[in-house]
Amino acid sequence: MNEPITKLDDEQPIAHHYVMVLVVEAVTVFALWLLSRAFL
Amino acid sequence: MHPIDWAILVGVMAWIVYDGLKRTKGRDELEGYFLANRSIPWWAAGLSVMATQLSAITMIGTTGQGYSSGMSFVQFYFGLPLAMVVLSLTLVPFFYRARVYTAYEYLERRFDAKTRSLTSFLFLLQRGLSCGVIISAPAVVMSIILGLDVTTTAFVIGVPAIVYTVFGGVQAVTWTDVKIMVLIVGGLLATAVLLVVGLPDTVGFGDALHLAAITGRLDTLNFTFDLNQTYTVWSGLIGGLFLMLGYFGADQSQVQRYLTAQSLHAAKHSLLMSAYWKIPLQVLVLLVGILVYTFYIFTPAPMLFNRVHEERVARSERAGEFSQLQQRFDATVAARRAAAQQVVTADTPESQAAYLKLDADLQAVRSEAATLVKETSGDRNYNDANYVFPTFIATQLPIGLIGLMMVAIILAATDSIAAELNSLSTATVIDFYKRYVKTEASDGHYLMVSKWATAFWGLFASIVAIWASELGSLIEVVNRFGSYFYGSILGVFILAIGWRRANGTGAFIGVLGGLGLVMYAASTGISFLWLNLVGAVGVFVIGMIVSEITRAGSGEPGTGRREPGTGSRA
Repeated sequence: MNEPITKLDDEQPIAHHYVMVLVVEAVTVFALWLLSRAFL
Repeated sequence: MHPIDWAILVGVMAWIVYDGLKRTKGRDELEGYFLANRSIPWWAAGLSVMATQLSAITMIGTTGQGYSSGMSFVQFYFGLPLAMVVLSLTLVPFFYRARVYTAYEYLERRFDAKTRSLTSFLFLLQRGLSCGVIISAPAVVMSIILGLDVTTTAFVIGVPAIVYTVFGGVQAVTWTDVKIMVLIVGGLLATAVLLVVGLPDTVGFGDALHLAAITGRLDTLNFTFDLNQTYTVWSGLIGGLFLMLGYFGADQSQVQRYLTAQSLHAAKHSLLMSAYWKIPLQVLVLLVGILVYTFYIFTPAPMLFNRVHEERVARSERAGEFSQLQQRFDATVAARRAAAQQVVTADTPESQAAYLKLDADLQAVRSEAATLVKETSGDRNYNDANYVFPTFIATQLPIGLIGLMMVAIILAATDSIAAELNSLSTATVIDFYKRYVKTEASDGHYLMVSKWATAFWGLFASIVAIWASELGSLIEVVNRFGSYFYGSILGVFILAIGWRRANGTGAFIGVLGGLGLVMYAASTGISFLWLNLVGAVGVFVIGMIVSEITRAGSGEPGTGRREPGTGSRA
């Protein structure tokens, strides 16, 4: 069961996820701000 | 509750325990029991990370927060996505490649045994006690709703977790987490839909949100820079970033979730799932609370959501006062409903002002009633908001969904406890038993000790939970004290990675010094989110200075850090 981690796919690009995470957060925060204004 | 709801509650609980016990793959080996032989797919590890963080306190307390104050609490999580990105770039690769069982094991390879033991001990102290609170807080609320006593409810929450964690290990913990997350999110979405459908025909979803917005419940962002205010954009982004770095990067209960992932890539993805979904999930939980508020504008609501307290006060010698409050409450509720209808049909500044005044009057009556409860029952910590969502479920949802939502709340506590027990057992066995007591033994021996350690922590948590209500403010102190540790534990990991010349003495003294700084900062009254920043920076700076002094004193050259995997392995 303790096989070496041959499945390690560390080289797969993941950097775009880091950017996307921050973009999604910025969009979510903007949407929340919009929500508070839109229904006033 | 209807017998059908009880049947659903018992049936789902039994199925979760049975399914957890079925997870036998690899659990006869230590790595299988604690790390699932690193075979868990990213999405399951990711859901487990989220489920561990989402306890029953979230389901009850956060919906209550949405009901009473609105959306502003979500700022608490603004630092989380950034923390996940930072961890994926820094600590996660270190932990994963070092093939460690616990985060603290890495500290011995980098520094020395005493630094590892100190941080692991702080984790055990903090998490062991908080486990009791995770059981007791929802047990107090759910016992009122289910009509059971607190001890029985605590056992209903705790025993299933103990059973499937002892026998199923981390596999059981992870796969039950997955099912429970699906149940919770599905239940919350169904409840949100029913809350909208339950509005009067003349009131639309937009109208309901408008009523919430004019009371300030949709106000999310507070840009005030005030260290004493708990929820601001800055405390969430900066203090929250350090809290989340500490929680997800240095707390074994979370680290162990992603160490089970089948690759480093999968471990990073499991954290990124929280980065993408945690804020939207919290928005959903808070929105449900806000929709409960709008629902009760048009549907008769109890003056107090804890019916047991209400009945007790009504029978006490202050029943007359309570009855007068009830009359004021009924009249204000009717007037507020009419004012709300007025806002919906003719939205003018005058109609909004009339509504806001009646809404404030209603809060004032409720506040007086809550004070009466505190004085009559002696329950000084009574918070009516915690009973809003469970009472709404029990009295307003259709048969079937009541049972599902009740079991979702209970299981939210159960799965958090299970993950905590699993990690407490891992730290106890790997960082202490295997390190100091019996360094060489078979996997079977360590496995047996691990099961006993899990059972021990389960028993410990249950005892703390049962006595928690009697310990009252002491538990609160202990819990707050526990939250002081995150920044300091995080600081030692930052020192390990960020200062090549740091040594064991510097790290050890840095942790103690950082804890002292946090205690001092806490006494000045600044918001707890900033304490994480104080702790992390304090440990780093003190550790750096002490390392340089001791290094100069011993004539030791700057050798740089040892790479993970090259040191001793406990």
